Amino acid sequence: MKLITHNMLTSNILKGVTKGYPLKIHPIKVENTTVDFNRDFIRRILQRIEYDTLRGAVIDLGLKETLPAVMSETMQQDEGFLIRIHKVLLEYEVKEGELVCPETGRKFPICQGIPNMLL
Amino acid sequence: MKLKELESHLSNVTNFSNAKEHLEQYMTTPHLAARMIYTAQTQYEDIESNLLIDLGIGTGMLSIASCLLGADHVFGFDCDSDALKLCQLNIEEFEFESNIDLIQTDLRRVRLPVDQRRIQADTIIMNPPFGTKPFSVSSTEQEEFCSTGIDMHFLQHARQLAKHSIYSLHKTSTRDHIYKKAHDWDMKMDVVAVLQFDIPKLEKKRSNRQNSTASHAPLKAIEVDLIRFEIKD
Repeated sequence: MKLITHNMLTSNILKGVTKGYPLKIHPIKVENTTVDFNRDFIRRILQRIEYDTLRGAVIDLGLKETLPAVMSETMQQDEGFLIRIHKVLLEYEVKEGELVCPETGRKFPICQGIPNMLL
Repeated sequence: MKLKELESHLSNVTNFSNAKEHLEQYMTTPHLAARMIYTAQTQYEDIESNLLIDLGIGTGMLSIASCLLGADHVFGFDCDSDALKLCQLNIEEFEFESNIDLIQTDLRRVRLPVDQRRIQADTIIMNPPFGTKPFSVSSTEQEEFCSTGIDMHFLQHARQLAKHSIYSLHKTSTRDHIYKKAHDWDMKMDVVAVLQFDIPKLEKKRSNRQNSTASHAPLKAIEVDLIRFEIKD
């Protein structure tokens, strides 16, 4: 599971859970790979990303990459910033671990990189 | 990339070895997948540089075809662990690990574990199960599971997740019903092509459908519509 995927997942399929977002990540095994940087894609996807959730996920994973507290319009034009976003969204893969519902504490396993949201 | 070239690449996608009949798992053929995705790109520009969702990704055939034609990124959903494992191998074979992400979830549920306002995809691609009968749901589960035909249920999910368009395959015999639903759900519907699909012939009275495999069943050809739905603004 890459952080781009984590950014869209919720646990609102659970009974009584309305938001279920963001899910907390308990990583066990995280892999780092190099992915070609596609500037246009990152600029497009940035419009759909919940920035605070991404920052939280970077902390959950204990990554060395740091993201500024607030994202401004000008930063979205900044090559260095876009590359950092690219790295955290696509280059880290949670191979094994758990996602935790923020409201109920219910855990969803991540096995071989695939989050299992079955109930 | 030319259509023939795309189809030829797709012939390297590995098929199910033990397709599950109760999930109506049969691979979208390279022939069908190539035509579907090629049309979506060349006639409507709905693939290249688009964010896609593949509902019931199965072997990954449609997603891989889309990435070959330059899709930005695909999120693929499936309920079945074996299918997801196979899909992952296919993705690795084509080196699309950074382009396609998999999520295991039950698409029969009324809700999906995604934030629909956030992750509206430009384009949805899918080859849903064709089951035309409502699948059995107990009264206590009615709130959580859909009670309509599974193909229409997939289409309903697609409608909620799509920003712009949906490409799907449906039995030609159900076309009138789908027109009606498309109208109800504020979508423009075009039958782009009528194609032949060889699917395993399912026995009507099979005692143990859960465990039977569709991989070695005799094939029967059915007519399917390749349909493009466009979300009305």
